[in-house]
Formats: sequence, structure tokens, C-alpha cells
Amino acid sequence: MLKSYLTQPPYQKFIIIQDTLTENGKPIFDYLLQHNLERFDNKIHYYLVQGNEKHCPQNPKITVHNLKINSQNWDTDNRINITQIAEGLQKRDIIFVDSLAHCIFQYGLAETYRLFNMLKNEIGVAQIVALLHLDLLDSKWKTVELFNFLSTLSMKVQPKFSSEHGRIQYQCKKSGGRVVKQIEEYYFQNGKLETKKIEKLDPKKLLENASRPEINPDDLATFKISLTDKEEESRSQLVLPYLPKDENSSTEGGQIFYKFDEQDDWDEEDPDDDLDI
Amino acid sequence: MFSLADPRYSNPILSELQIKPEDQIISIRENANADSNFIITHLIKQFLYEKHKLCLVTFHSNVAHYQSVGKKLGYDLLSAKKNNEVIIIDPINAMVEDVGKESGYLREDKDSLLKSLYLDIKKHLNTLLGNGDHQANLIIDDLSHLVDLGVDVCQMINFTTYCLNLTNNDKISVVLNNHVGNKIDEIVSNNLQYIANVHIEVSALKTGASLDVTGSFTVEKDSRKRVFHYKAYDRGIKTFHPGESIYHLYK
Repeated sequence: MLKSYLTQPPYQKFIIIQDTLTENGKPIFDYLLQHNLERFDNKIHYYLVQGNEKHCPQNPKITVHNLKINSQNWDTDNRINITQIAEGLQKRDIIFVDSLAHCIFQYGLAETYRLFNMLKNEIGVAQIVALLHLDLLDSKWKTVELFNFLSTLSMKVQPKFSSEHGRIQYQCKKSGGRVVKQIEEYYFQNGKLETKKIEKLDPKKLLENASRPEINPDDLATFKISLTDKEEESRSQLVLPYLPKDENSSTEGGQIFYKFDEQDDWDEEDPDDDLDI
Repeated sequence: MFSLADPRYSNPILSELQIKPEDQIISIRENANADSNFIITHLIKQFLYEKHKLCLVTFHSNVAHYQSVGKKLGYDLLSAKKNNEVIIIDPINAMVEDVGKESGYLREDKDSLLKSLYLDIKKHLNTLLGNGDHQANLIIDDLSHLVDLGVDVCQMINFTTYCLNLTNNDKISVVLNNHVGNKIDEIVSNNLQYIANVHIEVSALKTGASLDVTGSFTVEKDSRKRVFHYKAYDRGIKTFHPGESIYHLYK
């Protein structure tokens, strides 16, 4: 489903990819950029606020705005005014922002929110795609909550879990007002992003895998260790010859009577038990 | 073939770091209870050996410290300074001298502090580069002292962005050291790690202090992460892979 939200109409107005140093969202960001380049003729504006200009994609459809240069007006270099660029945009334009966190550092949280609200709602550009590095934010700032409210599709890259593929937790606001929250697995096949639903695991199978099978000594030994029920019954019926017997029983010949001492050390165990007779 | 006199191959730290001229952004993260100063002093050794120019911003230690460590490692920082190969910016000393004046680095307005520091760095790097065909390196040791001076996280990120923008000139590379002790330090360090060509992280041993191993460091380059243990001696550092300390120390 996630792939259809990303690549099929109705196209999402504002996509946020939340990532961290360990769970990198840049491949998904790059895929969306490539997808937009191949599919549409729209002009793409690449707002460079974090990365290196040398590593920016080179394409006539892409206009790179290096907003890092002289952002605080400390220097004599030309400073790019982001509001001016935003006002010059058209409805068909697509915007890619390589780090929303850096926009916040550069322009402040309120100004950044106002700017993206203007791009999405007032100017109404075709699509905004932004990377948001979660490990550059303090949870106290409530940045994620704020921009989740503004976004139409918010994705969070998550680590692998009992599978070879990474996961994406996403929240998609449909045009009808319904909000879809889902976790899906993602992977790249021939440079294309593929997503699939996480299959519900059978609890029985999970338990089978989780609990270690009991070890049966019979399977390991080359000789028979245990007794069958019949053998056990016959053993219990056996009267051992050295145990006292009923006096009434008629016996011929000599008899041995064992008289217990007061402190007799009588071992009830069968002394020949280990012989397995 | 390489010469044994070449510290990039013969020195245990430099041979493990494998810093190349194209590594324009080197970030060093110093975790709690660890000291990454040995990485900085060894990198200075490599840069001076490669005849690079150097701009050193010293917040953490004074010049005398770098000079005495440098002598033990086999280089003379002060004579390099005399020969105009090295320029040292000592903001803390400059602040002491500025007491009573509202100029230089001692300012209430932290934006002006950062601006004057950045402009000084840029001016000195331009002086070092001159018209020659050599490389220039900027080393800041370390950024966390700016946080101690009251600079907030946005200003820190903007300052590092200005420093990193210097690498748009292929002849300039930057080494930014950062001690991580609070949330702001962590954000600054994470920000550097996102864009660094080489990320070095120095930590104390998780298992506590040990006589045989001083600490551990990781070197991350091109998505490849290598872990080393090290033992600091008076005149150098020994490095080894985890689990090999006994073999290396007692052979």
C-alpha cells in the first residue's frame, strides 16, 4: 500500500521521511527524487540545507538552491532568501528539502512551519518531500508532532525485525479525511522501492521456534533405556527373594528369617537394579 | 612502496585512521570519560608531515600543551608557527585580554562572538593559502566549549555549517572535535556525523578503567566501521583490535 501512496495518484502534497543515523532515509528520498524525474515534467526545486552541493543530482529539471551559503549574513557571499524563492514558485513545482531539521536551525521553528504551510496551502505546490533527522531534535520541541499535523504522509524508518527487510511506520491522511496508520516492510529491487505488508506470524509457529525441543535420551542412546508399561507392571509384581514372605506359605527345606535390629541400616533399593535383570 | 619515516604508515594511530587529502570533513566525537586529544595531536603530525598549512583553534588546551605533546610525537608546532605554516587562534586567552572591553570574542551577543570567530578563521585560512598550491587544514578543539560559553544549539549548527562551507574550496579540510556531555553536544555531534567523510568516536571502556587498555575508538568511513582499543603511553599510543591487547602488550 505504501508504494501506491508514494507513486500513484492522488499524489501526496507533503511527504516527511523521518530517519536517524542508524536508520537512513536518504535512499527513499533519492528514490522519490528519481521517480519524480522519470515520471513528470514538473520543475524540481532542491533546497540544500545540509548536504554538499557536489553530491547534488545533476539534471536540467532540478534547480538546486544552496541555502547554506551565508545563512546568517556574516559574510559577503550572496545570501539566498527562501521566502523570495517560495513566492516565485508555481503550482506544478515539486520541492525536495534535504533536511527539515536544518531549516529549523536556520530559520527557527515558527518561521519554518509558516514557510511550509505557505508552500503547501497558499501556493499549493504539487509536492513537498522533506527528510527529518530525528537525532537532531530535542523531543521537548515537539517538532515531529507539529510537522506530522502539516504533512499528508509521514514515514518513519525503523530497523529490521525478524526479517531481512527494514520497516517503515507511516501515517497517511486521505483526501476524505481518513487517517491510515500502518507498518510495512521495504526493500529496493533493481533500484526501485518495493513495500509489502508484514505478514501476521502464526503464534504456534513462533512458539515452536521459541521453545527448545525436549531432549529424549532414548533418541541419543544406542541401547534401550526406558521400560514399556508392560515391563514396568511385571517389575512391580516381582517379589524379591531376600524380602520376608508370609509365614503361612508352605516351604520345604531350610528357611532364612531376617530379624531387623533396632538401628538396622536397611536399604530399600534393589541392589541389583543396575543390572537391569 | 612507502618509507618507514612516513608517519602515515609507521605511526599506529595514523596508519589506522588512514586520512586521505580527499577526506575534507573529519568529525571527532569524544564521549564521557574519554580524551580524544591524542587524535588531534596525531593529525597535526600528519598535516605538518604533508606540508599542509594549519589553522588551530584551541579552546580545550593551551598552546604549551600542544607544543609539549608535539615534541614527544616528533614535531615542533612553535617553529612551524614561526615559519608561517601554522596559525593558532586561542579564543579563551583572547577573552582574558579583552576583559573590560566590549570587543573581540568576549561579547554578550553570542551571534557576534561566532561571527567574529568565523571571520578570523576565514581570514587566517586565506592568509595560509595565499597564492601557493598547498592544502590548508582547520582544526577546532573543541566545539563543546562554545556551548559552555552560552551558545545555543541553533547558533552552534549555523556556526558549524559556516565552517563546513569552507570545504567548498577543495584546498581546505576541517577537523571538528566535540566533547559530548549534554543534549546540545549530542545534536552537534550527530549533525557532524551526517556529513563527515571520516567520523572518529573515542570512548572509555564500557567495562570500566583498565591498566592494559586506556579506551576504544571507532573509525567510520564509507559506511565501514572499524573498532580499535588503545593504550596511551608517555611518548605515544599503541593500538590493537579488541581482544588482542594481551598479545600486543606482553609480547
